[in-house]
Amino acid sequence: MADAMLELSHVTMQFGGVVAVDNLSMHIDQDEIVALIGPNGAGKTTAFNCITGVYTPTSGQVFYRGELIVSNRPQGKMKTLYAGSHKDFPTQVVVNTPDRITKMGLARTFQNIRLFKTQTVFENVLIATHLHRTSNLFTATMRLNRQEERSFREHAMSMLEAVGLQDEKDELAVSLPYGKQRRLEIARALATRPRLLLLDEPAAGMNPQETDALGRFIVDIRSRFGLTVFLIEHHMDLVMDISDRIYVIDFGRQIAHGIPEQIQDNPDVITAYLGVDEE
Amino acid sequence: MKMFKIILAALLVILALVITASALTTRGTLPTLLERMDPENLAAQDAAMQKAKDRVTTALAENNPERAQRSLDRYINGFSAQLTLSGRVGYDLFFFRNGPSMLALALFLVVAAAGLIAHALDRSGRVRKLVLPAILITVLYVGVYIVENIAGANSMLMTVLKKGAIYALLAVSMNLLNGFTGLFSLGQAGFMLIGAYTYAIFSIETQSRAQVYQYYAGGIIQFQLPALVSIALAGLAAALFAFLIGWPVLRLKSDYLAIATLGFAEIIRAIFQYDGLGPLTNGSNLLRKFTVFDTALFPFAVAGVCIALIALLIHSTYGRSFKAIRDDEVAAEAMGINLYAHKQMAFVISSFFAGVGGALLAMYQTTVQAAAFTSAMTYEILLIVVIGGMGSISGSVIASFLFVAASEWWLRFLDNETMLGSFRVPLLRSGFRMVVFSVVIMAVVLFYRKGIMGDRELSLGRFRRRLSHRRKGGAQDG
Repeated sequence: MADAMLELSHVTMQFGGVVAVDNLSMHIDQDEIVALIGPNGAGKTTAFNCITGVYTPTSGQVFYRGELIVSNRPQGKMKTLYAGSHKDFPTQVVVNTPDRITKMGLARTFQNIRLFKTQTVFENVLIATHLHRTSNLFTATMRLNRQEERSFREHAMSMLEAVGLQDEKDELAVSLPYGKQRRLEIARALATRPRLLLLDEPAAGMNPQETDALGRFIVDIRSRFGLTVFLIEHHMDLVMDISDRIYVIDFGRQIAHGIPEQIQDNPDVITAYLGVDEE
Repeated sequence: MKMFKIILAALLVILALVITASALTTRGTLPTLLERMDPENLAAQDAAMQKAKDRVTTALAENNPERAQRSLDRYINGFSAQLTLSGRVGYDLFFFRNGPSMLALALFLVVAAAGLIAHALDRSGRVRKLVLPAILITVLYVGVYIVENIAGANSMLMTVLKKGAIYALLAVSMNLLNGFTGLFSLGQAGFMLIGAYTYAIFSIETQSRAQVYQYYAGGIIQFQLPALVSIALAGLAAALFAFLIGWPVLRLKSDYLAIATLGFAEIIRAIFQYDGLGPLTNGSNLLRKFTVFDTALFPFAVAGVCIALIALLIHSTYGRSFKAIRDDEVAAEAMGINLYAHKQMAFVISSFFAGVGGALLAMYQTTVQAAAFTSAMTYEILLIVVIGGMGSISGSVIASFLFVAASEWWLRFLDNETMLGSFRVPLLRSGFRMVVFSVVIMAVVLFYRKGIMGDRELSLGRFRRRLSHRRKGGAQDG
């Protein structure tokens, strides 16, 4: 079997005494749309942050297309404080900053929209082309990189067209309505030319129609850009609609895994979401 | 329209040629001019004219209209000949005195003509876009040169222009870091000090070194480098220090970074006064007798080139990533921007230009002393950046000229005790200027929260668009 697009192996993230993600293992194959769901505070965004390098997990490994991109074991006072359920630690320590992970081909959006506020829609996307530069400080300042600059602009423009924001390109990013800001974040992530797109609650704050359109949009860009999509989402309709597989976590631990139909009927999932009936 | 432009350009060139010819021919004509202005000659002419006038009066008295008419004609002819002569002397004198300015004016006319021709012939529009900026830049430099020749190099106006140009560079370099990259650094005075000292140390005349470094046996450096080389070294020295302290300091955020850089500036000031470094820095004594500029064009040229470079940088892909870091570090990093590398880049570049600005300041002051580079100097420049607008290059430039003019010139009268008749104007006394100045600044900050320009730039394109918009609007109304 070919290497998975993304593979998590026993990832544990502990803040002080709180284990936010506990022994999470999962894999995402090429061209899949995989969802990570769970109640509020289950550790979904923390898992995202461990993959994208915002946090270094306390223990565990992350592989991207067979390459080890994150690996850590409890160090310092974490050695005594460690409370995760998996005790077999990796020996290697690999730490990558978010910018390096993005360069490898993983791009993400944020749960609470993080656009560049003082800049226009077009400039927001244009910034995401910076990581593909071949010009250095001197050639860029002296305008010796016209060719590259033109291709950056064309690429950014085509990304805006892909999400249908070409008409708003000169508006300030923050002046867009909420739904369009979400789309702009996706366009910006796409402009980094990722293979794996991580979407953190892309439908948050959207009405059912918008959510529906977003679902079609995600399926569409997957085939158009040859993407693999990993998303966190609370809108169950959307998740059940577009996901190939679903992982469910609660209190940092995986409680279920399977195709949408399996998850829908899983008693553990229902308990996690609705609570246990106390008698 | 095209013909019209070319004809206008031709006329401008002819005018430029006339001016150049006049300026050049009057250069070597001092003896001729003196002869023409000779009081004896003038007295003789006056006597002749007096005689002619007397003849008219006598003819009128004799009641001889024919002779009176003839004498009058002769008198008028003589008079207008003299007027013409004095006019020509005046013309020659004008060119004799303002020769350099007139040559500069001719240069401007030629540039304007070239611009017109380019505008008329260029189809692609690429050259066309450069015409107006090129003309404006020529106007600026020619204007400075002419003003300097007319007002005198030591006039208050020139002082303000020179200091304003240097402060503009310092403010723009600080804006690159604080306004564009969002790193709140207060180390400006420290980097200026490094620049000023590096410049001074390398450009003191070799034969004066014994005198300057009299307490340190003539110092350890015994050569003199050309001014421009020393300025480049000044920038590089400041950049090197920035590179070294950037490594620990840039990991700090907002206020902590400000405190750390402020501390750095204070430490640098103390170190440069340290007696042990005397052979290099002359301890706490002045450095002097180094190369200074003799025309305001020099600081204008250096500051102009540096500001242009910063502007080009800011509008490049690197500048865009600086702005991204300012707006949202987390998102910038997620977009593949290496935070530390880019912050370091902005810090080092900003410090390089602060060093160059420090070198220019040393040239302007003609002496350098570490004790003068206090944190108050950093605050002055920070104030200019804030008043001009965080994230606006043109704002910083405009604000620095206004700031220097207001603090050095326009409010100067407030420091002098003034009597209106026998009434002594209250409050006017030494120091009152700074009180008013502070109030003015508070008012500016209150009414222009984001500074004069905000984060916009003064742009010809926008100005033109607004004009054409208004024209269009007017047409619709009509």
